[in-house]
Amino acid sequence: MTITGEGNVTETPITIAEAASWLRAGRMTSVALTEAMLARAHAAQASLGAFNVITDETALAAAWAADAAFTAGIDRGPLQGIPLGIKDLLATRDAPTTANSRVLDPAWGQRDDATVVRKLREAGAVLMGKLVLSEYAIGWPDPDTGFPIPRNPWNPAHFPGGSSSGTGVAVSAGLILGGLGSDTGGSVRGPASFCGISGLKVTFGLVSKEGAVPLGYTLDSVGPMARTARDCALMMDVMAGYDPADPSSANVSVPSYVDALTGSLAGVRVGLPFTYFFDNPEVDSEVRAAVLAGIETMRAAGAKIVPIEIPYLAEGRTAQRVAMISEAYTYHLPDLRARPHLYGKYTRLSFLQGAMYTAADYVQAQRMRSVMRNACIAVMADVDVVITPTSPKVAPRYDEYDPDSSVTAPSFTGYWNSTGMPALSVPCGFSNGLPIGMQIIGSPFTDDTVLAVGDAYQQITDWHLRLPDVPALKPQEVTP
Amino acid sequence: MSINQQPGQTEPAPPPDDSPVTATVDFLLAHAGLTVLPEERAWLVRAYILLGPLLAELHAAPTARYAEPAATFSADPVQR
Repeated sequence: MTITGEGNVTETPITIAEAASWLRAGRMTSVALTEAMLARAHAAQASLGAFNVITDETALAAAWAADAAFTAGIDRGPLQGIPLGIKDLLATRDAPTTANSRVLDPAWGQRDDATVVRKLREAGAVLMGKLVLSEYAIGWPDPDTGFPIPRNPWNPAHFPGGSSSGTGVAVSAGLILGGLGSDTGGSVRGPASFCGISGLKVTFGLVSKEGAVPLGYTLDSVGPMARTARDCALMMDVMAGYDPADPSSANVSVPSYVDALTGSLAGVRVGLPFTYFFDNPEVDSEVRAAVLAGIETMRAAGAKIVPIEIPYLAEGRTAQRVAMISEAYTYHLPDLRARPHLYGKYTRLSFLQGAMYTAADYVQAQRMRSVMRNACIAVMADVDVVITPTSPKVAPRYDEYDPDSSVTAPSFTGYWNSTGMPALSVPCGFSNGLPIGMQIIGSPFTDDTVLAVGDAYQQITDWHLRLPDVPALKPQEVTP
Repeated sequence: MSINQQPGQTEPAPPPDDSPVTATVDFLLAHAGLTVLPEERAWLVRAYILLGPLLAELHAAPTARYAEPAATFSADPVQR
């Protein structure tokens, strides 16, 4: 499948796997691919606002190096020559890091690459720039801060999800083939769901956070976002692994995530937690129907559906919120006192909630997380994965923002940050022209299983191959 | 960030400006050395009311009392 357009006549692949094949077959050079995607990224910037910085020069240099390596018979793996993007809270040596905030000291990012960025470069990836996020990975875009406002490629009046907004937008619109996001309560999976792409919140500690601006120290993770689960697996083969420079890095052996993609759902035990995730009145009926249809598709392909009950859901929602806000508040308190006006209004409001929590609230939240983790692992011993909607609703309109929802609305994603478990969002349908996401969750360090189930589902469905019609890129012709 | 941006489920009546909740929020903000805008103060009062039952529920989970916390400390310095 490819993208072509009137304003950009270069035909390009839409997945990393496909592009890797083209580069090795000599069908396209990395330079040609990168030039086409850079042109597309610049053309769409005014309307989609995906990038804070587009690094044309270093991207083209990396593409030239990738092509030279291919010519010399050097192949560093499937990411060699592939255009990717980096969420602008990860340090990169060739561009400033802002965390989308006027508060972060510019000197913070003047360093070498974050560990996970370095790994991507060493694998030959072409890094096209720094991608917009919600300020400090929380809140809602505030035009007064001067940063680009990211727009959902499926409907620019709608939010693309946060906080890894730019990564979701850029992958969805075909401006990059994959990118990095980070996830503390849903920041990879939310944009993946709202933009109609795939995104993995990894097991806590599986991917290094060294060089990442923190939000919640005990919840944060860095994860891949791409068109397909297979592309996420290709990225994970490079990204995952122990890093002694990250205090929360897990010193565990890492499998090949691509080798785990069997393409089969036969015998896979899928846990269906109807309570809360499907019977909640906040769940949109079309979202519920689409996810249940996805589960039925899996059953028809040989999966076994097992009803289960996830423990401590209400307490888990609060525990995630208390831990995340308390940790962020501690980090930001000096700036909230000294120069609060530099924060966007929504970000400031989010962090100020930290003053409402006590030390006892925080410790109890952390205790609760341990209880939840152990109880949930016990429940999940009877299944391979659990499936829920990623979000109760599709992407909201920008004018629908309600700060109360951050306290009261159900979250289908934060629980899995609290328990440290891997969770993948894949597209499974549409409602009013906006994508619906299905969340596939596994026990800790079964990221390979989660990706394998997502990939097998995408082998028998085509939701992930549907592309938004981005006006700035002119009509797109999809060629199967 | 939570990705849920749906309309709030509850609509508690705003407390009067001299209510105990407002006084508590004012105390917490002053104790932290924070200055907020009037509309931020109003929302924090509202959030404090919304959070009350949720935090009570969190503390009421008896199984968590003796649980090992999720945040662990290591005495080993990290070499950077």
